Amino acid sequence: MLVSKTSIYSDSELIEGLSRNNSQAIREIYRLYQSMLTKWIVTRGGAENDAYDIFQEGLMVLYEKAQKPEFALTCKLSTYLFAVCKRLWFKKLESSSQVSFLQEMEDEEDNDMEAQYHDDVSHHLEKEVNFQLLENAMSQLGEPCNGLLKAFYLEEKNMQDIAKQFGYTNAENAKTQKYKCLNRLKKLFFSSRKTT
Amino acid sequence: MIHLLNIEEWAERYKDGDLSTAEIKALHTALDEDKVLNASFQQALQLQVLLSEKKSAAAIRESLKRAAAEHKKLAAGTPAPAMQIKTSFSARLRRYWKPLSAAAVIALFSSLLTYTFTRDNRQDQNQYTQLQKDIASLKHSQNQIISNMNKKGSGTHIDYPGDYSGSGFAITNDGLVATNYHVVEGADSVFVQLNDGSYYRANILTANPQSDLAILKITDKDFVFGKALPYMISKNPSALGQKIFSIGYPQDNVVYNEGYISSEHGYNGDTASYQLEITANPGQSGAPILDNNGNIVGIITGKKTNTNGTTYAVHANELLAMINNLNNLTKDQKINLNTKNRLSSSRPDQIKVLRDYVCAVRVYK
Repeated sequence: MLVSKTSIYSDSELIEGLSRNNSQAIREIYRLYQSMLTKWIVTRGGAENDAYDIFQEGLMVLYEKAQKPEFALTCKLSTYLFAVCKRLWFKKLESSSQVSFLQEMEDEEDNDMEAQYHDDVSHHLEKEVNFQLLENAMSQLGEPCNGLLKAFYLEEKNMQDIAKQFGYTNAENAKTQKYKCLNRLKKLFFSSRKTT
Repeated sequence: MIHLLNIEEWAERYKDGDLSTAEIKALHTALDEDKVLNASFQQALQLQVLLSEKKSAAAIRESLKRAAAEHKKLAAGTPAPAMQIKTSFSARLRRYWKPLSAAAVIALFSSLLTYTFTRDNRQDQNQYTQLQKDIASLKHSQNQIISNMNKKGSGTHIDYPGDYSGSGFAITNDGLVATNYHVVEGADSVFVQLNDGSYYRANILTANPQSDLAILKITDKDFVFGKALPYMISKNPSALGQKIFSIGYPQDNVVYNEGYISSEHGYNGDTASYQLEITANPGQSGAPILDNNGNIVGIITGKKTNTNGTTYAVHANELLAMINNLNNLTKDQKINLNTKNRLSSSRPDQIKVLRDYVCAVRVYK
């Protein structure tokens, strides 16, 4: 039986906080659940750092789920997080060794409810693969495209600053260049996705 | 004109909602006519979405990493809490309570008050808060003040029994206590503290997360609350507008509140609970709701976050159902409920009797 501390915040407040990147809510979630997950993972041969890694991934799964407009959690937050983290942990074990942990996974997952969250986990892992492919494609672009796209799309710099930084005469020129880079990125990204 | 060379820009403006209705129409026409263009547009759009998802995911990961680092530091710094039963708790509390300066009290309360979210009002929905009190957060600010006072010598500090607290009340005179499931959820050990300050270890006999109820049993075999129970647990649902009152332990002394039943259904239309108009504070989870005669009609479970008075209580019926279940499971040890109300009609007299049957529930996790 996985036990949990209780909070003066409701589950929905915590989830809303997480999806809005509220640091107080995130701290609270760590306070409530990290130690229990650490205990669980350490008793299964993992290290403390593994537990932190898995918990971060678990929270990313929840975050992605909470972004969807139709999002509704049908169980307690703790139940959801543990089901997801367990799944992630077994996936990790499986990928790092030749042995299949599927049997153990099914033994540990004591009800159907937990199995429901498998989809959330696979979506997350798929998304992570796409992020990785995107990153690879961006580094293949070379400079200045890589830096230009990063500055605009990931660091949210404005076009004036980008034009200055990359030596374009004005923002309009930088913008034209940005779309050309984006076009190349698109081709690289989608061709790499086809081959994997 | 929309063509393969500027499709990136169109996709970006489409995703950002920058297009006028005329432009959207033009875009759709162009995409319908040209399959190659359409495919290119779909990819461009996917890429846009992926880029913005990557950006927000990176921001969240930053916050998670920070929180994880903080948590790691805290976890390394705090040793496991010592689990000792201190029978002289109330005496200790009395000894140290007075020297606590007014500042301590203020710090205690302000830490409660500031312990809230900064919320986005546009997304303000009715929220539900459980009324359990996290003593650790209060204890910290208190300990600081106490250790400041004691800087020169002895390192004494107050030992609160338990990390969390709620309220509860007697079901039977020999030590069965009702409280909320969320109060005792995940407990390593549970103590029941009576009005006179004495406290007793208790086991969780049964618990039901759905109704948010739990039944505890005080382990001391010779324990009794007092004379026979002065109240009954009401079978019949209370009517809308019924005056009710409650006594519970939001602080170390028993506190009285009164109000009325404002809706026959609880949070989100929950038919197993009432909505009440009565003040409730953290620590009052599990406190009984009583009608004018002093019979139990409900048990406080939580309140609406954004209002002062709207509180929820689960029907006493749910508690009776749990007791029935217990009776069915253990045929040899039947729980016999009180069937007679011995309370007078004067409220102060009622409370004088009742407070010995209501208790604080302290929980270590």
